[in-house]
Amino acid sequence: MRDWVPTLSAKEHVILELLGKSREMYGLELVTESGGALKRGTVYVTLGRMEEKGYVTSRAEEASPAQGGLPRRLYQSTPYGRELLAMLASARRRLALRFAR
Amino acid sequence: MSGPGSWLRAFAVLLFRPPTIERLIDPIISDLQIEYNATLGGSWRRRGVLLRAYCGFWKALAIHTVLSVGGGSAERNEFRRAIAFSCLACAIGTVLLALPPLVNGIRLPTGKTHQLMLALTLIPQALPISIPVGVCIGIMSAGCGRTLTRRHLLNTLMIGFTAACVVWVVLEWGVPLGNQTFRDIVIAEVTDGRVVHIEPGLNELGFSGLARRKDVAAVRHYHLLWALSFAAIPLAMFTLAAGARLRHPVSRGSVILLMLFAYYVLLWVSHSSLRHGAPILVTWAPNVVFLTAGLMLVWRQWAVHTGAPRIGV
Repeated sequence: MRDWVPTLSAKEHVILELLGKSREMYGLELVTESGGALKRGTVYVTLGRMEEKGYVTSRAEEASPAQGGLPRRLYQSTPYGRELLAMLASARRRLALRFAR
Repeated sequence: MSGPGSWLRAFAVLLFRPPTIERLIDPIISDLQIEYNATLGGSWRRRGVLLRAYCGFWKALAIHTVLSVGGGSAERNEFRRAIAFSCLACAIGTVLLALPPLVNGIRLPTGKTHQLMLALTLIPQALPISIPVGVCIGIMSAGCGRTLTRRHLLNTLMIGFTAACVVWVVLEWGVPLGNQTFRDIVIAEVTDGRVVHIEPGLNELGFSGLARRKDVAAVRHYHLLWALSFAAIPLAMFTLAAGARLRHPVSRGSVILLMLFAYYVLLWVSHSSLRHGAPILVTWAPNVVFLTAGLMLVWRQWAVHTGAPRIGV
């Protein structure tokens, strides 16, 4: 049996990079700050999948009475997600160095 | 909850389980509402924001549904079996419906190419019947004697709706084109190849062609085509509910035969008695009857088994 290795899709990579600055962001904010890399139709599904995998956590924002409507859901990367991002980035750098020669 | 997007959330609550609502639907709706409220400017600008957000909502819903299609492994297998059996039954039904006219009567002296063309023109005529019938057989064959879940209902609706869309396309383009080509081939045979233009009749018109005509026969035919397009949904719902109660193959086969017979007889009777009521009401009567009966049976199944619907999305 092959060993299971966690992977990141391109969208997951962008999300983790944006959340990597240890701050909380909501879905639409991620779409805006990604500069077109994320779309509003896919970001929520991707975030849901990442939460299932343990890459991000989320919580409902305490809504102010003036705001009305549903509270926003804020997302934050987990230590596991940040570590995975760092390790994959490091692996990519090493691969680039190795094959650039 | 009120505000923009609340009706989308209410719709999603009917179909998805609470974790999906909490993790997927609520974040979309809350972002939609906040963006809408924060948008300054005229109403057109706000409508643009709403439109973009609605598109995003449906896209997210579609992606989520595709990724989680079939539900759990047992439900997914049933779903795949239902699709496979439906396609198979539809193919067999199409051949069975298109074959008799060729075998029994129509013979063209000009050779096999025209005979093949003629056979192809008969296929669109068979599809509006063979697709709903195939869907019923597929759903009935895929699962029996099971406890219905909300996922079963969603899967059945997906199959029914897809079938309805295909039938609509066939009735709009396939049948008019097929019928007109059929007439052209036969006329060319009769007139020794001379080109004769024949005005399309009711059977050579799709929805758009019939909508432009105002005579009573065209209006009746127009509503009949709409009712036929959506026949797959009520029939699929009824089959799902009936199939969950029946285990024996003979009883399942009998129920399908009886149901289809009753449906098409009711459609024929209601279409023939159109002068007694509004065309839209009379032609849709069989669909309404079967959809209501199917939903009532599904509801009763849920009440018997669980007291409340099991959620499976």
